[in-house]
Amino acid sequence: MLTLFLVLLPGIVSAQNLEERVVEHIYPNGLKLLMIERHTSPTVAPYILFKAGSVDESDDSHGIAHMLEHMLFKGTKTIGTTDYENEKVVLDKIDTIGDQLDLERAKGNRADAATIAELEESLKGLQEKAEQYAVPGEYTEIYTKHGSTGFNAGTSVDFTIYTVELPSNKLELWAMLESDRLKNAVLRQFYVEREAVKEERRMSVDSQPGGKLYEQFMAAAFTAHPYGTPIIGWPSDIALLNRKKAETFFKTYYAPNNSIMVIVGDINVEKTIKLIEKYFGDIPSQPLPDEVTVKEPQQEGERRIEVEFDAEPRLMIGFHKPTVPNFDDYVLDMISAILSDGRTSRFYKNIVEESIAVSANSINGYPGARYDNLFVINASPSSPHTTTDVEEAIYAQLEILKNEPVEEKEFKRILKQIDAGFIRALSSNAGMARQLAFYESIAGDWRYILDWRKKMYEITPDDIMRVANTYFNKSNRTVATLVKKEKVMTADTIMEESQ
Amino acid sequence: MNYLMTKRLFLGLLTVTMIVLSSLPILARPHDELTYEPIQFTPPVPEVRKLSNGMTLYLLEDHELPVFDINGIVKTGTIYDPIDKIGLASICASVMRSGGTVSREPDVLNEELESMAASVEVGMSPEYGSVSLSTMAEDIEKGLEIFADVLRNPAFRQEKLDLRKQQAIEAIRRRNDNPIQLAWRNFSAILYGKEHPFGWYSEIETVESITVEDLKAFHSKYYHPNNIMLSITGDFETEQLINQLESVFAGWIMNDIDYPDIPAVEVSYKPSVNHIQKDLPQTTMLIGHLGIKRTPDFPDFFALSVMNDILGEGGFTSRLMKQVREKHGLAYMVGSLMQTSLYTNPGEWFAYCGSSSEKTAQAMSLIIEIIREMREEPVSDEELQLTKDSLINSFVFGFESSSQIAFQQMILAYREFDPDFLKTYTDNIAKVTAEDVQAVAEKYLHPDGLTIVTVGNRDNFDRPLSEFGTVNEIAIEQPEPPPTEALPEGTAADLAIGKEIVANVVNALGGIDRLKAVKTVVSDARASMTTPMGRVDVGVVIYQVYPGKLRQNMTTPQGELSFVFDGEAGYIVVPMGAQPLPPEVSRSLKDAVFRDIIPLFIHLTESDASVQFAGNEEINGESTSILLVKQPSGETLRVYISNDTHYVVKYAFRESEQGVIVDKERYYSDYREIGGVKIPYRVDEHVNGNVISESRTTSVKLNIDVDESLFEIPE
Repeated sequence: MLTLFLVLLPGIVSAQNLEERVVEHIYPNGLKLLMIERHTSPTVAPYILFKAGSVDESDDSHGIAHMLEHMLFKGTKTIGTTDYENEKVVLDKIDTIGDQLDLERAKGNRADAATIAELEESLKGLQEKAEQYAVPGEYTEIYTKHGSTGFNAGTSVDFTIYTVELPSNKLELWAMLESDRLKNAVLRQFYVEREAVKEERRMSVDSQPGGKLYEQFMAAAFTAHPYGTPIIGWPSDIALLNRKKAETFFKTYYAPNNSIMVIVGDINVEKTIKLIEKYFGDIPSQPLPDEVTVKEPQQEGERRIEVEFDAEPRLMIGFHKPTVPNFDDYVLDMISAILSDGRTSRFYKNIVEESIAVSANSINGYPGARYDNLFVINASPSSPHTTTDVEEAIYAQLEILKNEPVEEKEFKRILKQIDAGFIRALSSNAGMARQLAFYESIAGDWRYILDWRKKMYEITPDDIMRVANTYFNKSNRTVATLVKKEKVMTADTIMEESQ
Repeated sequence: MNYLMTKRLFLGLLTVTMIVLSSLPILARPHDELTYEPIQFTPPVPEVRKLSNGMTLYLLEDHELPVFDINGIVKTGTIYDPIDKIGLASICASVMRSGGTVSREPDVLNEELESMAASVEVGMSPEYGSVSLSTMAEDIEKGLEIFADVLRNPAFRQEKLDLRKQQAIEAIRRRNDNPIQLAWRNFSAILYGKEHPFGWYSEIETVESITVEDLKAFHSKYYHPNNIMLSITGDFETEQLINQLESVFAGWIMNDIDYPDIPAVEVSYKPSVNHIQKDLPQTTMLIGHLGIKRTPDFPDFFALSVMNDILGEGGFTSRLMKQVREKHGLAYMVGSLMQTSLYTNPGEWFAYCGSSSEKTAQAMSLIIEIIREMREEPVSDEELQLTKDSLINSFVFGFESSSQIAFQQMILAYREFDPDFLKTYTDNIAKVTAEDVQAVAEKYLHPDGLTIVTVGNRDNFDRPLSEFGTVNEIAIEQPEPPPTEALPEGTAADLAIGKEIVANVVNALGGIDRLKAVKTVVSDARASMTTPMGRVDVGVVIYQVYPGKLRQNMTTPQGELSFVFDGEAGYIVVPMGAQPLPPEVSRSLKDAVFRDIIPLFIHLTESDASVQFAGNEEINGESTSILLVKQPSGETLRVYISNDTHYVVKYAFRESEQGVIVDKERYYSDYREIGGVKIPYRVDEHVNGNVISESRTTSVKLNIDVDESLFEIPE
């Protein structure tokens, strides 16, 4: 229910320790199960991820991956209803009227007000009728009363993940409810939930300077690849989402052979393998659509955009680069650590401690990692410094990376932190479950985590200089700044405009 | 944001053996057939020890992973900020860490910690300070030594205080960016008022007044071993660790702390509706009142927890979520929270919601109706059972990690709760009845005394806010950026020399009486300007009416344009019409008018404005004296006076131009006498070292009649 922006982050587990502890099982229908036994407390974190994100949407249904994620909390043929057979008849009628209404509204100025009013009236009547059969919120209530925590879901550009933590004696309840959802989901109350999604967009994008800047920045950076489309969808996309589109997406992508299940916590591995077999084993595998074939064309010059918002200035800079398993992606992970991990990092020492910016951070791998992505830098200037000053200070640091070899000491510190991160990550069931699911889906194998650590140790100062020179170039970058709406008029701008 | 989303401190504080509760009797469902093995789980109990210096320890060994963590609290808090230095406690905490220690420069400290993948942090909350250490087990000894050094010997280096202050000021400048943060700040300020520290927020002035001495005093007042509790977990051996702690804290002595009196919060339920206008598509609303002081022996604690969970804190199963979001689609984010503080504060109870402008009143009425219902009708058995089951069954998540367990025990002790509180928690929740829930709703919810705060665009609301009460409009004041270069404090000698030089200038220009006789100046000039399109020649007519009015008409190759400034606001006039200049440009114009040589030197002669002598410099082969003067914007103006002619030959100052700070220099020369007053006929302006305009005056007329309508605000 929240929109996720996951990133490749360094962190996770002493390598050998992890390799020994992860148990993997693949079922005949293609479902992959990863498990870690941890008996610290009688709790368990079962996560399920589908390799179905906003990149997989067709052009007439942007926002449907996220919308479907919301709809999958509405119950099944037996949960959330008192009489599915009769409810279904009404739901089908709602779809028909809803579609007519959406299409009429989409005409904008040319729409017929009387038709809209009539359709709205009849939709309202049908919704009231459907409500007689619905048991709203039952699906979530079951989890709640059994003591769940962290019951949620998230949609990213690359995938959708369903999360919960339960007392460990409730694992079978989870298996039963989740498999029922996969087999028998009913996407009831669609149009009401669509209103909630519109409010989500208004909250997280349209009323938030950071959300707005991010959305516009991505749209500018990607011209062809679907990574440039917001996960939640543009307002006009959301306005035309319907149950049929959601069901189509569900049937196409929510297949056992397109999913990864991760269970970490107080479990018995053998029993768990059988339990999952019992509930999920009979879901058939199915052919999957092709991966996204569109490639973002090479950028042919700097792109700069301004985003007007009633807020203080911010800055985003992005450089196109390849994703995993390209070696340069690993090098950029290292570069990101050098630039902005901790108080010894270069951005912190040279930009934040010099009062040029209140924050300056780099992230390798936005907005996703299944396809070639961006190395992104976010910063907020510290007044009286401007985004221009901050930009200059950032580029100065990138130039140093291009021209001066990184010192041994810096590498050593980062590698030590990577190893410590590996160990610390093992202390949370939920954290481990999320990381394993993420890397398995992005890299095709959770062992990427182990390989990643190895690669980090192989990186040389020359690699850093070469990669910095390859990607950190003006023609390869997109720069977005948040500016105030009011326009400063001077003689210069007046003359410029009057030309 | 975090504040709103924080789960109540208490969820998860407790108990031991988990029993599975009955399911709800709705319809037969497959999952009702499932049976669950009871969980037998006895969470480990931390060992409580005291060091010889009075520091209290909660120790829990955990050898699963080779890590080591300390999470501690110090009895202090932002509530002890002095009213003229709001922000002191937080800034003290962060500079304790960022400013290094007496023996460790900040860079050295950072390098030592990060090269062993360790961290030491110091933080501040309203009613406690926090300290932490996280390190690999192999580095415990070194980690403890650094941790103790930061706590005991912070150096509070001036440059790190300056940096932190600037960051705090920047945060103040950015605090209106996020509507939730904006609503929250105003909501709590209204509830607590100006009389109580819970209603205080730091302002640029309160932050600017904080000195190194203040930090030292705050640190030495509150950071004493007997005032600190540490929860310690990970891969260590208790006896050895105690010895190490005794050793790193040896010589740090106990000290009695005299806490300032904090006034009791005056609890009242006075309804008010407050609106902050911001052009956003969604309205952020907070609806609530002061909460309930939940003391350790507070009998209604459990019923209140259940009541608020049903109302709005229980996530997707709460009434607010089910009604406002699930049934009506009026919001994505909606719920209620009961904030509890530690000792002195009743906390706040409030509902929160974000609804599109067009649904604002609809959502608000529904929320208020749901609040009323809690008082008027008993909750259903199903709701009650669901909530109790949820609280009891999820209880185990309070014991997921050893650090969580040890920290919880420590916080309970800090709040002076009975340690058995944990053991009886689930039993006490189980005992809550529907009557109890209604009774606490009646007692503690005050739907007729709600404080409402909205942030959004009232022009698009579905119904007027006045429906909910008389609306108090809150204007947001956007703090102006501080000057990039504030005037330093001058010595008595420099100030005296400054005044002497001013007197010389006045004499050279024609004497104070002649200067004061000038009421209007009208001058014609030709200027050559560098623009993005290249060099442009323009004709300029400038009308000045002292004090403060200015109009500048320009004839450019592209047409006519004028700037008008009436002393406060500025306008630009082009053939298509007039429009106001942004406040930033008006501020610059105010400075520009202030810099006009004649009125400036009258001002410096007749007022007690500070004029500092700041040395000599050679300009174009001419020896000059430099004077420092504060402009209306706060920016410093450097005035260069010829030591030979005593004329102004140059100004240097910084200014914001289209959001960019630039260094400007104006060179004055070719002084000629008009009516006994000396006027410079040549002015060259440089920006960041580049010539951007050269202006030659062709005629100057003093004291001719100038039509006042020239300065009127154009239609």
